[in-house]
Formats: sequence, structure tokens, C-alpha cells
Amino acid sequence: MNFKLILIFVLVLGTRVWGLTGEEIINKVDANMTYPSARFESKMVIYVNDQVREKRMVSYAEGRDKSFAEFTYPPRDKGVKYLKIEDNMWMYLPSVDKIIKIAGHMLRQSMMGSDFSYEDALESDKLLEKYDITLATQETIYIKFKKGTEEVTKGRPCYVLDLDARVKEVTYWKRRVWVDRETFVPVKEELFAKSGKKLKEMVMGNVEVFRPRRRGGETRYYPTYIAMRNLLRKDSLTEMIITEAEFDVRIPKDTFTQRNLRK
Amino acid sequence: MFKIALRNIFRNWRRSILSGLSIAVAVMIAIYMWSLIEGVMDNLFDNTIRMTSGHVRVLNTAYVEREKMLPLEANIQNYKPVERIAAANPDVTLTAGRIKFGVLLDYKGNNKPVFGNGIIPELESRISRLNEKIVEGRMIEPGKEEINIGAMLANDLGLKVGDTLTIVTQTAYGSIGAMNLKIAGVFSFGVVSFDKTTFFMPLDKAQQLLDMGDAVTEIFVFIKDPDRAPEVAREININLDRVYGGQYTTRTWHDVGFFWAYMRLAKGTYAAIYFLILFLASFTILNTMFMAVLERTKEIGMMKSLGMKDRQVMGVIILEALLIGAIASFVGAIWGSGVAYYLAVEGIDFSATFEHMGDFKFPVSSIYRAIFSFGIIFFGFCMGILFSIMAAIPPALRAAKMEPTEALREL
Repeated sequence: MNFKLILIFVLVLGTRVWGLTGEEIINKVDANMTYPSARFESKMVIYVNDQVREKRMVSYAEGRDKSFAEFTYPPRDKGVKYLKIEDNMWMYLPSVDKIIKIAGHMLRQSMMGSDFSYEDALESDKLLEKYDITLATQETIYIKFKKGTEEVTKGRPCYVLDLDARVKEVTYWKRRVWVDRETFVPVKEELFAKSGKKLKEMVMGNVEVFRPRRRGGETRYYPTYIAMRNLLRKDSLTEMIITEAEFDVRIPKDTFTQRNLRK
Repeated sequence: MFKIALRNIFRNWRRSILSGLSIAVAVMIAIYMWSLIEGVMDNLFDNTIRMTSGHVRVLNTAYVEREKMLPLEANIQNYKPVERIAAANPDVTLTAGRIKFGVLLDYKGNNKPVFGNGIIPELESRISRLNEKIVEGRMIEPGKEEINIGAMLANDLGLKVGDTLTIVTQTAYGSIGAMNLKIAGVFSFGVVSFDKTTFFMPLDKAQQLLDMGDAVTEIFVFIKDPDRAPEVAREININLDRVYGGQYTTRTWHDVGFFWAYMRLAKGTYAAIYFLILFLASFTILNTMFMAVLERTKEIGMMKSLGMKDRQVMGVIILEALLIGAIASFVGAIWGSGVAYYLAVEGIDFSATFEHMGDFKFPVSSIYRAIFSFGIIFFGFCMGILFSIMAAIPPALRAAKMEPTEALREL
């Protein structure tokens, strides 16, 4: 009888003592997903109502707070630039030679016709500051897609985290994140409204290993494929595919300035 | 019997006049309120139809499903042949291609989400009558990068005729489209939703902005008799299907769901108010007749013992009420139609109301006219009589139930 009790005690507490807490997992994710500096070449493929639209861009980022993106394709969007500094975002439109600050109601709108909103792109605060995180369960998941890449992740064991908003000014009141146990790359995320309605669904995959370019750098696992589905839009999906990534690169000093938008 | 009733009215003429007066006033209020509200609603209805739907609209079938999102890609490519099919219908008086789209309007760092309408300026005078609604500047011209914006929108953003603003939008292919447009003129429809959140630009420039080639998102169709919209829509639909096989469809103004429902609800509510006014006024009749019955208890007892039947007693009372009601309603109807006629000819100028709304600078053409309809006046007159009679029934019943012996004893 005593032995059984001890066994149960060990089993129950064991997971607590030797496993990771939700916060620790998120911290590991953060550590892996943030970088001092990076340069990406990527393409965005938007599937809406039997139409496929491809856009390409080059982007630079420094830490979490600064990023700059320039669209290079299609011709109609060539030269459209975005600058993000902390919580601010600006857009430059070459056709009218104008810088427009993206704020207020516009933040929740679709970015370049994709399933991502400007807000999704802007999100720079650490999740820990806005959400209470609990480790819900662990499971092995398989992710399949109707369009684009057929199979992103092949049955990866994951931590499943539940994030509940602690502050009011969030778009998504609840998030559920699946984090790969081995690489600490988030592989799937579901975003919910206050009512409990699922708003968006995102998966990440094709994780590539980036060896450090400089001595003392870290080995990084970074997903090169992100698929976002805005469930409020009927039959729509956006894929972000990173075609080239470089971490810890040197970025010219005036990259993250409004002046650079007009260049 | 008629003589008795007539004589009874004049026995206490002050009371009769008083109760008659309340009915007359109630009938007058009901008639002129009804005429005015009907007029305002018709105006709103007409404006809304002219701005948002036409009598019948031709749309891409896929557009209908997602209309709230204004899906530009679900458009009518090469729309002229499609338009010709609709125009061929003998009931049709006018057709015009349009594009409705959402944009972000940016002026000096202030921006606002608004709705744009790509229109053919030459035709617009027969559609939304935009030319008559311009309060400053002039109407846009085809082929020019110009814009007509609502007065309240102009006020909100601090815009003047001659200013240049930027509109940013998503094109039919999901790219970003932007254009600088010069404000040619400012309009006021007197309807907040239009004057605050809409603008007009030439259709050709809208097509360019939105990467739409020669496509439109909708074709407005106007017909001789708006009530025939469902039949005409069906006929056009059959002819479209013959060529395009279900690619395009039609919608009537009835299908602008919320609007139709709102109109019905509003009319129902107002009808209830007219009834309530008459109902309250009829209480004075009720009161008068009760007083009369009580006063004449002895007299009624006498008449009854002389062989007058219950029915006849009731008849006398009701007839009295009917006479008061008829005269009063007639007077009320004359007053009411007088006011309604004045309001129909002169209208009520609400612009004075707007002037006191903060720093609202633009003159607003917001004169609402009542409609002058004999139907409404006659109905008001009849309702006045009906309510008078109904109010006389309870006292009449009471009089009829009196026992002659008992009644005589009461002195």
C-alpha cells in the first residue's frame, strides 16, 4: 500500500520536477527564434479562391525590435517597403511616393492581401509579458496541407502550451502552441478570439539547421516554411517560404530609418 | 334617434367641443406625422436605392456569396456585352457599370477606412443625382485623377476643395494600389453613412487603381416600375444564363436585406405610434360619454320604461360619439392635411440643426419634404371616427344594462 502511494507520488511529481514548465519552454523557443541580426530572402504565396499569387521580398532584422522589408516581385508591388521599429510600422508606396504609418484599425487588416495581418507581422513583445503559459499536454502531431508543401512535419513529439491573455490589449485571447520537443521550434499555433472562436491557424516547418558563421555563435534551428490560414476568410491560405537565410550578418547602419524607405 | 343624439351633443356643448377637440388634434398629428415620416422615409429609400443598389443589380455569382468583403476579383470582366443584355429588357431605363471598393484614405498622416465608388460621371446625374448634391466645387470628370468626397468626411479630415489626398487599397490581384487624387468637389446627401464614409472617383481611374482592366463589380439597372424589380431581374437572369451559363446573376433592391427589413420595421413602429396617439385621444370620448350616461341616468331610465329597447339606448349613445368623432375627425383631417401640404411644399429645413453641431462648416442640403397623400388623410379621418365609436361602446353598454326602475330611483 505504501509502496503504491510512493509510486503514484513519484509519477505525479516526477513530471513536475524533471520536466520543463511552460515558461521554460517558451523561453527556449524565444532564445532559438530571436537573433542579433539576419537577412532573409523569402516568397509569399497566397491562395485565395482558386487563385495563386506570389510575392517576393528581401528583409533585414535586428533583434526583435527592428526589421525592414522590401518587395521585389510582382512588378506591381516592386519597391513597396515596410519598416518596423518596436511597436511602430510604416509603409512606403512608390507609386505615390508616400510613407504611411500603419496604425489603429489598419493593424488588423491583411498585409499585402495575405492571411497575415500587419499586427501578426508586428508582434514583437515577448509572449511571456502578455500571456499566462501552462503546459497542457504532450503529443505527437502530423501536419498536412491541402495546398503547397504536402507534409511539413512528420509526426514530431511536441509540447502543447496554452497561452491565456493577461492583458486586455491583445487580438488573440488564447493561443495554443505546439513546440517541437527536440528543436524547440514551434510547429503549430492556433489563435482564438475572446468568444473562443478560432481565428487563425499557423504551422511552421522545414526546419533547417544553421551553423554559426562566427566563432562563439549558436547553432540555430529555424523554420523556413510558415503557413497561415485566416479562418475568417473563406478558403484562403498564405505560405511564407524562406529561400535564403543568413544569421548574424552585418546590416548597414541606416537600414532601419524612414529615410531608407524612400531610397 | 338621430335627433336625440344631436340634441344630446348640444346639451353640454362645452364638453362635446372639448372631447371633439382632442380627437381633432390627435387626427391632425397622426396625419401630418405620417405624411412627414412617409416623406422622409421615401427620400431615404430613394437615396439609398440610388446610391447602393439600383432597382436591379447584375453581379458575378461568386461576388454575391462574399459581398461583405467586396471581393474585387469576383467581377464582371468585359462588362459591356453583359450590360447590353440587361439594357435590352423593355422595362429597363438605364444601366451603368460601377465598382465599389474599400480603401484607406490618407491625408497628412490622418487616415480613415472609407468606401469608394468608381462611377461614370455622365450617368451619375441619373443615378445618385450626385450633381445636385455637390455643395462645393464641381463633379469629377472622366479620365482625371479626381475625387468627390462627403461633407462630413471632408470635415473630419480637414479637407478642402483643391486638396490632394492619397488612397491606398488592395487591387483585384492582392497587390497594393495607391493613387493621389485631387478633391474636385464635396457632396452632401444628408445621410450620415454616405456623407461620412464614401467617395466617388471616375470609373476608368478606379479600374486602373484596382488592376481591373475594363471590369466592374456591379451593373446598376433602373426600371420604369420599381415594384416590378423581381420579374425584371428574373428575365435578365434567364437571358444572362443563355450566354454566360450561371456566371452572373441578378439581385433586386429587395435583396439588400437589412434595408428592406429596416424599412418595414420603421414603418410598423410609426404606425403603432399613430394608433397610440388616437387611442389616448379616444379616452376623452370615453370619459365624456361615461359622464353623459351617468348624468342622464334618470332620463335613460325614463326612456327605457317608455319602451325604448336596450339596443336603441346603445344606439343613441354611440351615435352621439360618432357625430362628435366625425365632425372632430373632419376638422382634424383638414388641419392635418393643411400642415402636411405645407410640409410637402416647403419641407423642413434640417440644415439649421446641423449648423449647431460643432464646427460643421458645410452647408447641408437636408430639406425633408412630407408627402401629401389623400390615402393617408382619409385613413386618418376613418381612424378618428373608428376610435370615437370604440370609446363609446363601454359607456353605451352600461347605459343599456341599466334597470329602468333602478335608474328612475336615482335622483
